[in-house]
Amino acid sequence: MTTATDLHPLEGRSARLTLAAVRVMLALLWMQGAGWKNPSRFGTSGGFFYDFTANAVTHEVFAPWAWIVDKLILPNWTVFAWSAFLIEVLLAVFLLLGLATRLWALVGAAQSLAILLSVANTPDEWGWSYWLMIAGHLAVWSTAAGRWYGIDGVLRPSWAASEGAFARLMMRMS
Amino acid sequence: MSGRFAIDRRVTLYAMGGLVAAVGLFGLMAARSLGFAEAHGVEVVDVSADYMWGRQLAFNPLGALCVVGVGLATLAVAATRLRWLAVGTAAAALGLALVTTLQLGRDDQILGSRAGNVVLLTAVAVALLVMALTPSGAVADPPE
Repeated sequence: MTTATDLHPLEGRSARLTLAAVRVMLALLWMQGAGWKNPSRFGTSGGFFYDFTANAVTHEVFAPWAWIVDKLILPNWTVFAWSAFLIEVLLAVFLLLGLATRLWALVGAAQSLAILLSVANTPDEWGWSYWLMIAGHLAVWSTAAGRWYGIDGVLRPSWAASEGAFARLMMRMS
Repeated sequence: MSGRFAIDRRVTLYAMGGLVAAVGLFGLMAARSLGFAEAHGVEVVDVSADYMWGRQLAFNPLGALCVVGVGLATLAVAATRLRWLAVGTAAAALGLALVTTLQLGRDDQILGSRAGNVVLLTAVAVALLVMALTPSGAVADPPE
């Protein structure tokens, strides 16, 4: 008979609940991240989100990233602003549901890295915040945290039994 | 693919529908003193500093009623397991999320919502679609 002490820590209920909680907290973080962006102002330069992004140039962290922001992102602000907003909404949605969790955890880590490279040298920013966000997303990715208390866990048996391309893709992303 | 989806997904949909309906009812109570379609809704959690996720969920009575409706429809999907009802409810939720997104930050928005409402409605829609459209696979349904 298997006892609680025989289990690998990741197989225990407390570990699974903790991972689910981390996943949901990251989702709520992105929900708030989307919340302070104001789509009604995306058509014009200026505003807090624009200034926040421009920190990558005015308080440069990494020269290639500063060049990308200066030459590609800020001149095409409307497209970028909507893209960033929608990515953060979708990060919140998929991490909250625990659906395609491993894919969206990597997206979240990449988005956190972009923010780190933009504002780590900005006064009154705490650079460790973004390193911790990256670490949190990598923890969710490496443990496939959607498989417990998430939709990945509900649907993986069906995806595993299917031969379809979509099911195989979802198996990889979950 | 039959007209009904696998029974093992019911618990998830009951939980989701119940949660969404409860959030909408809470929003309806919180927004009872507002105009029916007032542009700026009441935040579910009204804290002084903008660090709580709850500030991203806001409701006027119309927006709250819409969320209650989506929650009740999700409960109906869980009870009946009808694919067409799941897809219809998902389409309605996505439509509400789209209207909310296009009106965010404007003074003439009709649902009194914030980005959290977009996340909530989109999450319901995505979950309903993936639950309804994923074939049952190896898990056999018990006889009706």
